[in-house]
Amino acid sequence: MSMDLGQFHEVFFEESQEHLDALEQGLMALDPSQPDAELLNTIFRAAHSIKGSSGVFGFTALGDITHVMENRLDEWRKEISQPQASQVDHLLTVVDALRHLVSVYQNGEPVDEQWVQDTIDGLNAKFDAYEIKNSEQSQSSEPVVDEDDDEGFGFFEPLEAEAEADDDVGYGFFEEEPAPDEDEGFGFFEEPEPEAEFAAANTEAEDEGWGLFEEPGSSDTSPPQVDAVESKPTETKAPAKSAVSNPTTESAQAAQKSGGTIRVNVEKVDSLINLVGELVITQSMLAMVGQNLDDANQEKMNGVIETLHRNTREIQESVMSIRMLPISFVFNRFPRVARDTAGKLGKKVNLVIEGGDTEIDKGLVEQLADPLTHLMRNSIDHGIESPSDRLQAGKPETGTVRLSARQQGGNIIISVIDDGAGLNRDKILNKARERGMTVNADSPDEAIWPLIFEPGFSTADAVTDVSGRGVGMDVVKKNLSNLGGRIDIDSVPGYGTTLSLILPLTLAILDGMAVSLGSETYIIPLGNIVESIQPNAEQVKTLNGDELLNVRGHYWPVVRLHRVMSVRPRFERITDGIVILTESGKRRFGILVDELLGQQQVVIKSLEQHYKRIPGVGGATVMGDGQVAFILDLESLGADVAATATLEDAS
Amino acid sequence: MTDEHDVDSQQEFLTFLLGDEQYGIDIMSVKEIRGYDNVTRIANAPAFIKGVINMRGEIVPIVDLRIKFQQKQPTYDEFTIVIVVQVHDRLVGMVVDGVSDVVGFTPEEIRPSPDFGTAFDSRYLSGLGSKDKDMVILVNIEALVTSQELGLIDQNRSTYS
Repeated sequence: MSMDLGQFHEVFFEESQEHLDALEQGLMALDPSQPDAELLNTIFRAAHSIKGSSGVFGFTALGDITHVMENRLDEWRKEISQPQASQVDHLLTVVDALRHLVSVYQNGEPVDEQWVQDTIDGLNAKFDAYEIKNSEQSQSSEPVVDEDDDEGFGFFEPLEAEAEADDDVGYGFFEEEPAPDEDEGFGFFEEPEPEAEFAAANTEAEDEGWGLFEEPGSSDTSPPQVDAVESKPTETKAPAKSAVSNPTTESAQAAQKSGGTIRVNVEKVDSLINLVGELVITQSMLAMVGQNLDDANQEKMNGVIETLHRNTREIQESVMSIRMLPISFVFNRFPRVARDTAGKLGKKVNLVIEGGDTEIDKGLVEQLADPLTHLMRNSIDHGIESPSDRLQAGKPETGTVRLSARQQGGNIIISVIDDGAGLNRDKILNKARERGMTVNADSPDEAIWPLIFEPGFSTADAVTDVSGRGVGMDVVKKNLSNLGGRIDIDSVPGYGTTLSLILPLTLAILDGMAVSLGSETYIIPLGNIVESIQPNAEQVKTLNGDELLNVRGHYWPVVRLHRVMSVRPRFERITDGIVILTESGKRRFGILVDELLGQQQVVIKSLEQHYKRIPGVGGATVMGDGQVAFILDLESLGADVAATATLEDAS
Repeated sequence: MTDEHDVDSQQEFLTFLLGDEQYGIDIMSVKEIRGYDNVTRIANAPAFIKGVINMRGEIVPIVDLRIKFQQKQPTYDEFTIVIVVQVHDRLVGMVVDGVSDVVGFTPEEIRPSPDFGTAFDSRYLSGLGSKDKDMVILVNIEALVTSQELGLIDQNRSTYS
């Protein structure tokens, strides 16, 4: 049996993650002062689902914590108690604890029972503490209530409810609603039994010896109570749904959800993409063969090949789209990041998310999370001012951070926009000088802002535990360029900063320029190419033995690709070949090749899967004739180039 | 060829020729046997690493065992044979002088490998199989492919990928 369950574990872990995400998002969206009943139900269901399935698999610790969580959520759901912001915060930390626990189970590590108990105790304490406070408050606000009457109050009322079926207070007892002065009665419902509906209420009442209940006979009292349950929803706004209707909505929604998608292993998708890539190559080889027919069938052949071409292209596009995910997969974590960061810093921030349905390659989605988290924290820490500063500056107390994604041609542009103080030009310049960099005070903003990407560069006055240590922006930039993306900064003092990440739509396809070198072909990423020139003799200058190319006043170092790749080229001299001017990170250099073969989209293949990294090469691709061509890695190619392209040159 | 009853206990090897010596590799590690064409040279790689090929979308390195272990300058034509082997998830193509046969050996027919007299270092050998008049040097393909000597794998690879 246990052997059979094993294969479902992975599904369970995945689903748990989804439920935890739902739980977190629900809690984030919850407005404690006006809890939305449907939202509470969603949150409750998420906790309930985790509890249910963890029980099946014997992940008891997970079940224990979610069980308590579920009970507490049920109190909110049934309006026994009112959610408090601090409780929501605490529940979020419990969600984190659950995530941790899921990974513990996933890795097959032992569970720290004490930690589990502490988590449960902490959760209970948080809720109990408030309830005591709550009842104390309400007690003091009640004029004169006898202690004894107080206890019995809730139970007494149902008797009278016989006459008034829709009596609120009477209802309250059975639906476990917190009548404010229902001191003892309330505590009694804290028993961790979320499903404790009528039956439990009855038996508990009997256990406690509330003889009052017995006397009238349950057959007499029940009908009006049921009525009360049914009629209650019409009386209050956003009522908790009756217990009976819940399971149906739950299962209906679950069915709806599972009907739309299937889970597929990424490896299967990738191998499909690979095979389609092969199909495209075969198709183009077939096209080449087909061109050399010399009889009447030529035209027919061309037609068929044209159809094949169209079909393979469509297959390729739709297969690629399987890998695409809406970017909301990354964005969804940011309300939490913003909330936590702002909370820590005592700032008020409103996060606006736009374009969450923009689709992006799955591989990118996973690698975007960290850089974006960093930028988001930076925006809140360095960008958004403290509430008092904002008021002084005539801005609303609450800052706005806008996280938006949109597609532009073959790129995805993700922007983090804050309406904070903007970058401080003088501070950046001073910091740069402090660090011994040569900077020009007259440089335009566009030349100044990128300095914040220098390693160890931070202009924050104080190092906080959120940011300001000066590690990070350089890493963000590096990570992005590894993904084939870049980052733009736009900042206006007093009005805020916009950081835009420009990324390729997919990691798997690259727009490239094919170049020839001797008998070999290489691909240069098109995004890095500034222009291609055939230099004349006057443009070539020599500095310390290194040849530089003067292009309209800028000096470009030249990398002779044939030397890097040890090939015998057709042209040794710069003036005979073609120099492709490229820009990668802050390095700008030219690459000497024999000839441009043309621009084409190439499918990027990993070299490291079966071999190892090759210096100067970022990946490989398969050309139309089935031959492998290497894609140049400009970062590593340019590493040897003296950093001639310093700030003065760039400006 | 073989008796019914010892089929279970015997291991099958694909045998190939390097010069005059007959070698065998576990048939289960052989992915395919193909001709030698469309090899893209890798800059600054050792001479025995001929380059990479595209094998149904996978970029597979090609090692010429003739150069590596025979120290000779081989020729490449339409009869040149590449055995593509799979070790764990990695594919490697090996150029050899020729593929001869598939031979099954029972454990009794496999003796410890000799310490000398073969082109291969004994580290990469798993034994010596003999049946009738055949003598096959059995190669431990995993040890060979993952060896530092071939340098097919970044030694620090596991730390980041």
